[in-house]
Amino acid sequence: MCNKLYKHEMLSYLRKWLPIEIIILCVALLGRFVQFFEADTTAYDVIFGSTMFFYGTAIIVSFVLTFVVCIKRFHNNLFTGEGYLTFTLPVTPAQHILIKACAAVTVTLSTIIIAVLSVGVLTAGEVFTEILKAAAYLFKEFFEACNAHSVLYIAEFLILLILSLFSGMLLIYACIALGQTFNKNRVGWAIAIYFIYYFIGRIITTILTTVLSVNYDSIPFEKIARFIEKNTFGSVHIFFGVNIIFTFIGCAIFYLITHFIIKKKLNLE
Amino acid sequence: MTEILKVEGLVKKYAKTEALKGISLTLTQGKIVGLLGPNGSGKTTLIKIINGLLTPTEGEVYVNGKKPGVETKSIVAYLPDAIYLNSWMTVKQIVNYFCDFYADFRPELAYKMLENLNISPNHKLKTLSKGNKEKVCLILTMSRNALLYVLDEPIAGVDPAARDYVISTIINNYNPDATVLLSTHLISDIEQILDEAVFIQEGKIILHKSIEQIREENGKSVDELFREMFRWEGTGPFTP
Repeated sequence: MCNKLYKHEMLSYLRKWLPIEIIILCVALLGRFVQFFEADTTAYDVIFGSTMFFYGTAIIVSFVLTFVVCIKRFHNNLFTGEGYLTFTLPVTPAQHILIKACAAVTVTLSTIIIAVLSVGVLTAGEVFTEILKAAAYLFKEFFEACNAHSVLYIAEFLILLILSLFSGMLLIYACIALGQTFNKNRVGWAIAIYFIYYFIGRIITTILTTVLSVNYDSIPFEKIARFIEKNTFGSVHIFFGVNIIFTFIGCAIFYLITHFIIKKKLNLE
Repeated sequence: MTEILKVEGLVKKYAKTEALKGISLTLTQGKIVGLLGPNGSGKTTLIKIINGLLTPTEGEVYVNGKKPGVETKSIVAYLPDAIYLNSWMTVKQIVNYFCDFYADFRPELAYKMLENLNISPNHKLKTLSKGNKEKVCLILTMSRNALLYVLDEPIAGVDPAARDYVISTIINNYNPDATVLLSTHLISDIEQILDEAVFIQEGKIILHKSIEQIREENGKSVDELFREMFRWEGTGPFTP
C-alpha cells in the first residue's frame, strides 16, 4: 500500500513541480546559449543580465514553490474536501504521514539536485570543467586529510541533511494538525502555532546564551579545546552524531503529534 | 442476521452545539436502510463518524465488529454529500486510483456505467457538469463490492430524471449481501427501494422500523409519516 501511496503522491507533485524545473533548465540552457555571442556591447550585457536575472528568479521561485506545494499537498489532501477520499482509503494515519513526508523530501532533494544541474548547464564548457577540477581537488584534499573518516563524514552529513528536511516538513505537518484542533480559522492557527514554536525556540536559545555568557568563567574551554585537539576526527563525529540524535528526536515528536491528532482528534469540516 | 453496523451511545458535540445526542443503532446485512431526517438533524455527522472522518465525543461505532480503521475502510464504500475527487484528474485516472487502493473495486463495472452515461474516461473531472461529477462519484462508490455502502444524500443534487438513474444504479450494483445506508430528505423518491427507515431529529433517533411495519402500524407511507412527524410548525410560509 505504501508504494501505491508514494506513486500517487509523486504523480500529484509532478503536475505542479515539473514545469518550473523544466523552465529552470531551459533558462540555464538559454543563458549558456547567450554566452556563445559574448561581446563587449551594451546589448549583450542587457540580454545576458536579463537571462541571469530570470534564471536567479526561477531558482528562488522553484524553492519557494516546492515549499508551498509540499505544505499545500499535506493540508489539502488531508484536511479539505480531498480528505473525504484520503481518510476513507484503507491506509493507516502513520502511512499517510510518513509517505507524505517521504514524497515531500524527495521533491525537495530533487529541487536541490536540479538547481545544481542547472549551474552545470549554465556553465557548460570551460567554466564547468574548472568547477569540476576545483571540486575534485577539494575532495582529494578532504579524503587525504580525513582518511577512513571521510566516507563516514559524508554519510553523517547526508543523514543529517535528510533528517533535517524530514524534521522541517514534520514540524509543518504538526503545526497544520494542531491547527485542526480548533473550531475556526484552522489555517490561521497553524501559522500562529508555527511562529509561537519559532518564538519559543528563540527565547530558549537567548536564555541559554545568556546563562552561558554569565557563567563564562565556569566553562572549561581549555579542556574542550584540548579534547578537540587530541580527538579532532572524533569531535566531528560527535558533532554530527549529537545533531543527528536531536534532529531525529525532533522528527519523532512532530510525527507523534501529527499522528495523535489524525488518529484521535480528526474532525473534517 | 449478521450485524454489519453497531452504534452505541454516540454523542458529538461541537463548540456550542450538540449534533448527536446519544445515538444507538444496529443494522444487519442485506438491507437498504434510509437514514431520514430534516436538514441539520445529524445525518451527515453520523455518517462521517461511521467513516472515521469525525471523532465522536462519546460512544462507539463498530463496522462488522471492528472500530473504524483500515479493516473497516476496506469494506465500507462511502459517498460523501460533496464532490471530493481531484478535479485535475481524468475519470480514468480516478478509476485507476480506486483500483490501486480498493481490492474490491470492479473497474469493468465502472467503465460500463460510464459508457452508459456517455461520460468519457479521458475527460478531466473539472470539465464535467456538476450532475455528471456526482454521477461519477456514485459510479465509483457503487463499483466497489463492499459490505456496507454509506451514501450521503446521493439524490439531493440531481434532477428528477437523473434520480431514477441514481436509484437504479444503487439497486442494480450493490452486493446483495451488503447493507446500504442511505441518507436523504427526499423520501418519496427512494421509498420504494427501502427495507428499513431510521428517522433522525435533532441528533436523536426517533424511529427505526421496517417499511412494512411503518405501513402496517400507521397506515401511511414513509413519506407521509415523515411529513407528519416533521411538519413545519412555524407561523406559516414567508410572504413578502
